Amino acid sequence: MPDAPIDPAAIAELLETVGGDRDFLAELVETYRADCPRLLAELRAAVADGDAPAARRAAHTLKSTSASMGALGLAAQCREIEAAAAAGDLDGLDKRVERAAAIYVAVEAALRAAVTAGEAS
Amino acid sequence: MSDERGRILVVDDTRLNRIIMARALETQGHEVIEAENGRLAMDLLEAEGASGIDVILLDLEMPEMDGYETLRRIKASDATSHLPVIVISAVDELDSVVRCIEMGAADYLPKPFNAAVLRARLSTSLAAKRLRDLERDYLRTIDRQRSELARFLSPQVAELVSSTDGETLLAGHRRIITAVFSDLRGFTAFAETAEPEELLDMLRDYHAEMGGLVMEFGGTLEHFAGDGILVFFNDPVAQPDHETRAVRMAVAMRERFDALNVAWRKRGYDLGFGVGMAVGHATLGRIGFDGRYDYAAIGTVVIMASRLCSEAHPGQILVNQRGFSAVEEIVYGEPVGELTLKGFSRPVTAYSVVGLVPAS
Repeated sequence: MPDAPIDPAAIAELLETVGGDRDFLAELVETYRADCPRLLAELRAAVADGDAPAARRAAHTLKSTSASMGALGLAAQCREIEAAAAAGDLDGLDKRVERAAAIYVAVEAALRAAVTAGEAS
Repeated sequence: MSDERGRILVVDDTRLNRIIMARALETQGHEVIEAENGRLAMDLLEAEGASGIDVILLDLEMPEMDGYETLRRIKASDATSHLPVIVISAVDELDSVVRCIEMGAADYLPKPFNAAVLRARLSTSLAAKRLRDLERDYLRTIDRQRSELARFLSPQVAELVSSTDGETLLAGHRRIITAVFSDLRGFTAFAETAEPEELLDMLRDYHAEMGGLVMEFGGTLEHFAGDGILVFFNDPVAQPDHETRAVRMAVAMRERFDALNVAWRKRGYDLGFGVGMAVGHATLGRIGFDGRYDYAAIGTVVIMASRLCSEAHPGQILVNQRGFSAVEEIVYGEPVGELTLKGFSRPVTAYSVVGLVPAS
């Protein structure tokens, strides 16, 4: 699992994929920051309610989105949650969800920093 | 490469991924249509018509209808099975990729996306799609040309033009054929006095009736020239019974003429029908020039059929010796002696076909 919240190479690649448009990258980060808290809340609620399918869906989307944004550690964490939820095993999943939430805080800060750094350069 | 722009259907349940993919594709010059799950993608393909889409980028894990089921349906339907599907897959899902390729996916795109990989994969799939479209267009054109050709040429010749050994046959070959030439006695006089509309109406009826018989007996219609009709048998399609087909057609034509002539007489037309038929060698193939070619039979057999036709009295079918020998068991005939025909140094023995021996 990578130590950095976001993989700088992945961000560079993402920027290239969208045609080097930094403003667009900033919009992507905003979209991601708007989506993630909602997804985390859904995930928490689903785990608390014992709703495995809902937990799986939320974890899946969070995983997929995070991977695209270069948040590989968070994506890996979500993948494990998704797999457990898919197996219907919600035991102890709340702790994993909180770990994911903690990683997200670092990811969010790192993404904002990356966008700001880009604007400065 | 810059021409390889397409309409890409992106099927992914994650909004952010769709946004990224759409931008990446638009950056590369493509037009993007999005669907957030397999069911919506199928609805869209049905509504939009598969012809509007060039390539489908398909995510695998989706609610409602996942990528596997979507892929299965795309490949199961005739309307969409030709569309290249590129599966979007995380690096740790290689098993899924194999499964999808086996199901008919064209390629896969690893997540997270890389612009260069995306470009390369799309370029390959778009080229394949273009080739398929081109092939389909060509096939349609060929079909259309063939059916159109069949209306100008005899169906056998139209078929020949499109067949693989057609070129060899068109280039020219020798073969024994039966040539049948028929025309109307009194037609020139009629043509000089009749109104153009009346003349064309009469010819249209005549050609329709006689043309139908040519088709029915499998003759190759070389041409209509006013009232003259030249048909040959045993080429380009070999017909072991070409002589009997020819004589049966000639008798059927005479009967058909008699039926038509009932109405024509009432209108005051004074016409008679004559046929010359000959069996012999001919050279067959394409004649003409770059602007216009005909498939034609050339040889004394054709000239003899034409001369015998000129000699025939109204209602007479004259056949050369070789032709009559081949059909004498199925026809009643009588010798008409030796005829001196223009262009033939020696007199020609000919027979007149009175009728067909009834089938026992």
